[in-house]
Amino acid sequence: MKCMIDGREIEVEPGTSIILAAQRLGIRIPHFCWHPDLSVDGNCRMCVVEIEGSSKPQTACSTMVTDGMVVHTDSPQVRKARRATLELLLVNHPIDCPVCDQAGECYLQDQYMEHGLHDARISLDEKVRKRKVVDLGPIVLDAERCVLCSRCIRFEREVTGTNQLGFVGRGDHTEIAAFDNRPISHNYAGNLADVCPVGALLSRDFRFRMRVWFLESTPSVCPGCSTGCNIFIDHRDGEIHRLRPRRNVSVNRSWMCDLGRALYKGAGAPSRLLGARLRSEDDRGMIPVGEALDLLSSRLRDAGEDVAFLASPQATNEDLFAFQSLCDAVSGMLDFRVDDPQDRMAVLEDGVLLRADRNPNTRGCLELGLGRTGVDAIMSACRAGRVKALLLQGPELLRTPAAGIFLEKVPFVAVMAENDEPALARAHLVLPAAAWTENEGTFVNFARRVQRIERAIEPPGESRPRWRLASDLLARLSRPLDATTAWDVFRLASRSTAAFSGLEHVSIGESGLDLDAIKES
Amino acid sequence: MTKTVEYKPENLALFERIRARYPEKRSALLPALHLLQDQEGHISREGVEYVAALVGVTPAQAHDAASFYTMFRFTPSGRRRIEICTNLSCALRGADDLYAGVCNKLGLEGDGISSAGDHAVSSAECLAACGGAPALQVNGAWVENVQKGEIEDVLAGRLSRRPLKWPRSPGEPILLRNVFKKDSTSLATYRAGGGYARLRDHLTTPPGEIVEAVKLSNLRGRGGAGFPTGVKWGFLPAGDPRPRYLCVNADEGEPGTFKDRLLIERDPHQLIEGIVASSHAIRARACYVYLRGEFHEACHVLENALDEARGANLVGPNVLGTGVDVEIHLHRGAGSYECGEETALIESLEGKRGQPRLKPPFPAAKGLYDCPTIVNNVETICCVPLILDRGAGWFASYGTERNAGPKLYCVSGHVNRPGVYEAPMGSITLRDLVFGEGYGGGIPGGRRLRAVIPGGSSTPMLTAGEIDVAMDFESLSRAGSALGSAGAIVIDDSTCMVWVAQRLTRFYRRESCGKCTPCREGTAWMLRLLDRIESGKGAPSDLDTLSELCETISGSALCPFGDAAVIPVASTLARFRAEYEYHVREKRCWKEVANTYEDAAGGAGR
Repeated sequence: MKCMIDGREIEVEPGTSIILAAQRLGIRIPHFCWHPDLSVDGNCRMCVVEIEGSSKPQTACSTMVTDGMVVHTDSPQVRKARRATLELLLVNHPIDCPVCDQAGECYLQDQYMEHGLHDARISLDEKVRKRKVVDLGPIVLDAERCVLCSRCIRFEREVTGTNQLGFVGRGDHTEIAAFDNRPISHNYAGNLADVCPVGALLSRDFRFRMRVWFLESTPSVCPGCSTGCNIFIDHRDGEIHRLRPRRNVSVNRSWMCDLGRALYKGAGAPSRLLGARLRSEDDRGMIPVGEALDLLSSRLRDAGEDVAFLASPQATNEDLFAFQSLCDAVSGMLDFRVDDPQDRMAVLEDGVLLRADRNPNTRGCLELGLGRTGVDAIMSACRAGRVKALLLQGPELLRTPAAGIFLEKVPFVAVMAENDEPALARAHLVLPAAAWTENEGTFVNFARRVQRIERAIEPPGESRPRWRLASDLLARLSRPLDATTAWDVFRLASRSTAAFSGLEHVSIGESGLDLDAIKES
Repeated sequence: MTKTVEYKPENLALFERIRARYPEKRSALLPALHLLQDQEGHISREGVEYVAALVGVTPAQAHDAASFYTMFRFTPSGRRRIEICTNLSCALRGADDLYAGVCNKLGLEGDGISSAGDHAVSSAECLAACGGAPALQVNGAWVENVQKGEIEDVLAGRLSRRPLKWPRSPGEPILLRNVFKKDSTSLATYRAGGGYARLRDHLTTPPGEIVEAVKLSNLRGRGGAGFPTGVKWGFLPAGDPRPRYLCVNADEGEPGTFKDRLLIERDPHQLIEGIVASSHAIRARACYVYLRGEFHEACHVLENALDEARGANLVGPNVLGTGVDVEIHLHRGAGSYECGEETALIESLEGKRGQPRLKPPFPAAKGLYDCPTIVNNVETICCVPLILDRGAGWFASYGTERNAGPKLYCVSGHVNRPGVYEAPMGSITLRDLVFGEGYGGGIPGGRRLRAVIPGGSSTPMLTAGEIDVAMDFESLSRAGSALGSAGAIVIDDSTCMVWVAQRLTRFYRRESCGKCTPCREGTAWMLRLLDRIESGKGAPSDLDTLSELCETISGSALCPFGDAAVIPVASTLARFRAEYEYHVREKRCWKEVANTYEDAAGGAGR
C-alpha cells in the first residue's frame, strides 16, 4: 500500500507503522518510548503526526499506514503538540545536564534543542523529588531523570525475560525501580543503559569516563563468541572507552552481552606486548620484530615439512588465509582446533545472544579449510618429536594444562599474542600481534554470515596484525603475498575459497552478508 | 533476622481455590495480595516476594503491580482504618470539616496513623457513597451521612457501620423493582419477583438470536460511553477457536456515580441472571466480575448470591440442564479509578498495573489473555434479562427514541434528597432530577443553583440556565455535555467554582495511571496551578497555561481518561472564567468576602 509522508510517496507492506515508513524515507520522527526492537507501548506521545482526515494528532508508532494515507510529520499542529509534550516531560526533570553522563546522546536534550527551547514554567522547588544515584550493580539509576518510557522494563520482559526492573507507584509519582534495590544480575545489563533514552540508567563502567561528543565510533563486530554481534568501538586518541551494540536485525538486533561489552579492556591492557621476545640461554629477552621474523623464517625453512601450524578461531579470515599461505609455503601440518569449538558453535548458551563457542571465527576456519591435519595428529607428532617447529596463531594451546607434555619435545615454539601472560613462557619466540580493535578484516559467524571488522585504533609498539606477520614471513621465504592491506588478502582468499567467491569487502557492507543467501541468489 | 511471611493453612487453601479461577496464575496476584494483607495487616517486602513466587512472577513484577493500587499497604497501619471520602459530592456536604475533625481528634495533621497506633486516617477519592455524603468507611464498612457530632462515636467504635437509606423513585421501578424488598438479596426474593423464571428458555435460544434481540432493543452501554451493546457483542470474531470472556465492569468510581453499587448490594441475582444470559449470548463460558476493591459490602453480598445461584444450578456447568456452562468469578480491584477503562480493567485482571492498552486491537478481538472479550457495565448487564423477558420491542419503546430502556440516575451534592432514581431513559430532565419532588427535591438552605455536572465528573458542567434538558445521550450531547454515567452533582451558589475544579482535578491527578506523558504530568501541573489560583497566588498567565494544558492533554493522551481529566477545568474556564479572574485579580477566593460570587463581584465595584 502507498502513502504520502511530507509530500513523498512510499510503498510499504500492510502492518507497517508510520514511524517505520517515515524512517525508510529518512524522516526521523522524534520519540522516546518507541524502539525498533521492542514492543510498541505508545506512552510518551512524542511521535505524534498529523494525518489528513483525522481530527487529532496520532502517534506514529502505533498507527499503521493505510492505503492513500497522507501524513505530515512537521506541520504547525505537530510542532505545537510535540513542544507541549516535551515541556510536560521536562516538568519534573532535574535539568542537570552539566553533570549528567547522558549529555550528548540524550533524547530529551536533543529534542529540547530541536523542538523545545522554551523557558521553564515550573520552578525547581515545585518538582517531584525522586531517588538519585541508586546502585543497581552494573547500572546506576537516577529516577528523577526518567521519562517513564518503559523501554528498560520491556527489554527485560521481551529480551532477557528477567523482569528485575519495574515501576513503583503511579501518576506523576511513578518511578523505575529494582525490587529492594537488588543489582541487575543478568548478562545484558549494559543494554539497559543503551535503551534508556535519557540519563536515568547509566553504565557504571562508563559513567564519568568521557563526554560522548569527544568519541569517535568505528563499526566492528564483537569477537566474544560465534554470534558476532555488530558493534561500535567508541574511542578517542588511540584509547577505547566503550563498546556498544550496532543494530543488525539479522544478528543481534540492538543488543550485546556484558561479556562482549567488557572486551575493550583487553585491547588497552598494560600487559600488551609491544615487541617480540626470544627465550634463550643468554636471555636476550626483547628483540626487534624484524629480527624475530628473520629467526622464525629460517627456523621454518630449516624444519622442512616437520613444521606444524595451529591457527586460531579468534583470528580474522585474512589472518587465517595468510597463515594458511605460510603453511602451504613450507608444506607444513595445519589445523585450528583447540577442544573442538565447532561442536559448540551454534549452541546458544543463555537463550539470548551468547554462544558456547567463544570464538568469533570458527566458521571462517571451516570455510577456509583450516581443519586439515587434525589437532590430534599434530599433537601426536609433537609428542613423538617429529615437529621441529610449531607456529601458534594464538596462545590458546599454551594455556591448556597438557601443553607442557605436548610441547616437551618441540625444539622451537613460536606464538603470536596480544597480551603477555605466564603461558607464553612455554614458547621460545613471542610475536606481538595487533588486537581485534587494531585490525581490519572479516569473521564468519555461526550462521555463515560474513561480517567486517574495522580498525579503530593503531596497534601499539611494534605489534601488527597477524596477517601482516604471516605476510612478512612469506616475504622472507621468497613467497610474497600479493597484498598490502587486509582487503587485498580477502580478495586473494575469495579466489581460492568457494564460500567467498566473488565477494569484496565493499560488497560485504557494514551489516555483513549471509553466505547461504548469496549461494541461492 | 527477617520474618518469614506465609499464608496460614486455611488461607493457603483459599488461595489455591482462587488460583484455580484463572487460566493464568498471574491473575491471582491482586486476590493473593488482598488475602495476605487481610492476614498480616500490611504487605511487607517478604510478603511481596512470597506472593510473587505463588503466582509465578518476579518480586519486581509483583511490586510493580501492587504499588499501583491505593488499597495495598506496604507498612503497618492502624487497627481501625478510617477512609473519608473528600471528593466533590462529599465535600459539598461537609466532608472537609469531617476530615479535619477526625484528624484533629487524633492529633493528626492529615493522612496518617494516630500516635497510639490504633487509628489510621486517609482521605479517599469518591467511594460511590455520594447519596450518603459525607461518607466514610471504617475497616471497609460504610458509615454514611456522618454528622460532625458523631466523630467521637466513630473513633470509639460505637458507630462502625451505617449504610445510607436509599430513597424510592416516583415511577414504576423496573431495574429497582426488588431493591426495597425485605431480604432483597436472597434467591427466594428474586424468584418471587419472577427472576430466573425464563432463564432456561433464554439459554436454549440460539446465541445469535439473543444478540439480535439486544441489538433491536437499542440498549446502549450504561458505563458512560453509551455504545450500543448488541453492536459491541457483534464485534466478536466469528468462528474463532479461542475462548471468549465476559468481564463485568463493576469498578464504579466516577465521582457522583453510585448506581451499580445499589444494584449489586441490593439485587445481586438480577446481575447474575444478566451475566448468565449474556455469557450464553456471546458464547463465553467464564465471566469475571471486576468489582471495585472498596465495595466490601457488595463483595460479600455477591459472593453469597453466587453461592446460592451455584447451589440452584443457575451458575456453573450445565445451567438448568441446558448444556450451557457459565462460571462467574468475582475479582476484586484494589483502588484505581483507571481500572474502569476496559483495557485497564483487563490488564488489572491479568495481575498487572491497571494501565490502558493501545487500541486497536479492541477487546472484542484481543482482550483478556489475548482472547475475544466483552466488557460491559453492571447496569447494562442488568438490562439484558429485561430485554429477554419483556421483549426487545418493549425495551426499545420504553424511554425515548435512540435512548431506550429504564435508566438509573444518581443525584448528589447540594440537593435535599440525594440518591439513585429510576426513570425511563430521557423521560425526565436535569431540572426534574435536581428539583423534582420525587427526585432531588431542590437545593437546601434557600440557596440558588450555580451549576450541575450532569453525568459524573467527566462530563462538562451546565449552568443553572441550562438544565431544561432531557437526561439522555443525545439531548445532553446537544447541550454541550454528556450523559456519561448519569451521576449528577449539584452545586449551589455558595460554592467557588475554582475550588470545584481544584477538587476534581486533585482526583484526576491522584488517579492518573501515569502511563502516558500528557495525562501523568499535565494533571499534576493543572493541580499546582489551581492550588495557586484558589489560594490567591495565581498570575493571569496561569489561566492561559491551564487552557493550553487542557488542549494538550485531551489532544494527545493515550486513553479517554485524558479527555475526562480536563473537563472540570475546561468547563469551569468556559462557563465561570470571571471567577478565575477574580481570584487572580483580587489575590483571594471570593468566599473570604462574600456568600456568593455575584455579591463578591458586585462588592468589587462592578
